[in-house]
Amino acid sequence: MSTLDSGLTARLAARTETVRTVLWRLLFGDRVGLALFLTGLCFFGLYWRMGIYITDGSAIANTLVNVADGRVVLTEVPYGSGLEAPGTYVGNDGPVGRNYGIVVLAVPVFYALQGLGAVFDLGVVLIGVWSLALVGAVTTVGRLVEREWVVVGGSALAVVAFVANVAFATPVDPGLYPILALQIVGMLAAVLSGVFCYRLVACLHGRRIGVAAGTAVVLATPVAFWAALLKRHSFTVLCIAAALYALARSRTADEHSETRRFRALASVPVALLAWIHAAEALLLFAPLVVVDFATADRNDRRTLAVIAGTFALSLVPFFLTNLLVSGNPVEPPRMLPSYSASAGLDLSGGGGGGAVLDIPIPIVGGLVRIALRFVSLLGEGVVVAFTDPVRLHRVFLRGGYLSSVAFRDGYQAIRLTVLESAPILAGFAAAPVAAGLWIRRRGRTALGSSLRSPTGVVDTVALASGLLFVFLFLPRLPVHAQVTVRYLHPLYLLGVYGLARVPAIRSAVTTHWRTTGLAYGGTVLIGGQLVVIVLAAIDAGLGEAVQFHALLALAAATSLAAWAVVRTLSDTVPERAGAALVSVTAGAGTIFVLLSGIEYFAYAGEFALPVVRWLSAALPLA
Amino acid sequence: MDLGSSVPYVAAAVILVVTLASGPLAIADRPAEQPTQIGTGSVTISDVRLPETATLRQGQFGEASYYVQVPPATVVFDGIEGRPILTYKLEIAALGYTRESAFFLGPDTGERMQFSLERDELPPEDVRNDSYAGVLRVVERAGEESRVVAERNVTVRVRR
Repeated sequence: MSTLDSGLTARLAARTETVRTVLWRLLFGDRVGLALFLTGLCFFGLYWRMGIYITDGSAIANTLVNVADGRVVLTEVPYGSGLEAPGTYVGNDGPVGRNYGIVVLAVPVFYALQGLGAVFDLGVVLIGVWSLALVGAVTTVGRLVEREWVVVGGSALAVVAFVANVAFATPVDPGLYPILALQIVGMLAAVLSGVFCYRLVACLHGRRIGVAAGTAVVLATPVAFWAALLKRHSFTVLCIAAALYALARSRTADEHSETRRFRALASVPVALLAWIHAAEALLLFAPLVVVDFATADRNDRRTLAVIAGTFALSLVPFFLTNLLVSGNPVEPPRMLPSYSASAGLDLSGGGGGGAVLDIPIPIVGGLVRIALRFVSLLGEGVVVAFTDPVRLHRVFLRGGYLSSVAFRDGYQAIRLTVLESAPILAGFAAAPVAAGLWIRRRGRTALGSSLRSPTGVVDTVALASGLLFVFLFLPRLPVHAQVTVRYLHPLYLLGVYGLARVPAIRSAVTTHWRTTGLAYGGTVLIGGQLVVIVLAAIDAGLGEAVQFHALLALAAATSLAAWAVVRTLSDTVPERAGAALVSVTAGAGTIFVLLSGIEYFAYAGEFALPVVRWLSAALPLA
Repeated sequence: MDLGSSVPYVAAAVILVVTLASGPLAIADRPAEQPTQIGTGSVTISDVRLPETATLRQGQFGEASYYVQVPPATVVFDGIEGRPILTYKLEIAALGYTRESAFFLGPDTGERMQFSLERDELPPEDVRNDSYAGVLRVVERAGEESRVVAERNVTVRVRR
């Protein structure tokens, strides 16, 4: 009996160990990845509001409630305006939702919350999990930097924070559980985007700049803003980051079998993205396939079979979901007619496709139709990009008040541009200069071989995919309910990657590591308080506060851009200044994320951490 | 290093134990129902102090909308019966604009109360004059009926 027991225990232990190793290698890579993961989750938790922020969230929450009951058709619609909620479509057997890929991921979390909520006070459980993550974060970070005080002090802080939060904990309404489940998977996706960014950059340029890039994505860009806000964008960013990472690994691998494995793995996140948002997946798929095959050392039959097989297998959930939803495996929810007459923005070409339901389209015909529609949308975007500088300015540089947009944002100028949302991206201004200099020095012939190098391959896919996102969405921008131009969310990841590829920036951050860290901490802690003081002193309204951040961001961004360009051209400007400016722009991004979450958009729901609820009420801001 | 290696485990254990002990607390935590229905009863008021002016202030830093800013009103009660509702309301007839906030009174309400109107926004296209005539009111609502408790004509200044 005991021998049987020990044998079973040993095998179970071995099995658990294998699962742990696989998960570990798949998600975090190393302890730095884990540290970033835990730190990011704790950060998101600071301004986690339990509720629906914009109406689009209702449809996803409704979809989850039904999928958790085992059906794709929406029969129970407790959130928002029910079936009228934007993001509800007319499916084959009745109304359906969208983003099924996210919903399926959230189902186990939802069950877990229901189970925990039945036995414990869920509010306390969430506080407990956050505090445990904090203990984990300080322990991992403290051991990585070999500072015992970080481990000890951080753990003590976690216990104090736990006790303080539990003292004010209030019960969580079970009606919020589906929303919480979606928020949790959203935060996981957002933080893993940063982890994959770290691994991608570390794989190409070493750990130090990798850590800086991953941290920047998680703490200083709108990825943090939208982490818990029930939108798909975090997942889009994660899929892109994971695909680029796998691509980079396929080009840095020593053995051919490893190259093949990573090339195949790169197709998995593309397929999963299709499950979430098919059109966005195409924007990643096209550049990835073209560049991968054009630059690969070998495209032998076996390699092709492995890649195609992996991709086809990963697409199974996408096909199955579409089959259930629309009756056609290649027709995703967004191509169906909208359920509500007042449909929001989608890519179905305006809900006029009622005939789609009557005539079953052959798959090939469907694919051709999708491709044509898609190419025409992209073409429209290209035209707009080259003929409408005013629009480019309003989307990328300076936003301010636009009546056409503001009237749907409650007459408030709460719309930022890409640069205002993520001023750190300004450093990318030096990229064309650096590229130009490089070509002049090395000649055009060197360019060909450089494009086949690991960095060249990833650069090309990142650039092409980023441009395609711009082309697809630009004709619809600027638009309301964006705050940070969330349609172009991937640019924040790709931009940070691009930043890490700019030699001047990379060298400044890696050489002046301490300056970078100190300047970032100083900006957030001191600068953040100054912002609060100024805004409180002038009794700023919501739009004023958001625009104040925009101007601060632009000021910091201009300095960084100027430094990066000059430093790329000549070594006479000090490198340390660049490290400080990168941190100031990153800090400006972080301050906006924190204050917007804790103050400006606090109405999105009750804070998961009760102490933050108190802080939010105590701060004298909008 | 010994301390550093055991502290996280102790911290984690404390957090876990308290979290797991929260089950029974969850049941005790449920909020009690309010017995009396709100919006019923009556209030006698001894004094209402309404501000003289309100402001339409245009936003800064690129925010072009106007903020409707109304100083608070002070209401002094003689007696409150049941759970009546008072509203504080601004009307600017020339702009077709009204805004009001409701205040729920009850046995816990003190002798006096400050009524404030939350900040609101008006689009820049709508605001053309340098000032507007407005009316501030405190109104008692009981069921379908409403009774004006206090009223004052105010000047709404526009600050650009």
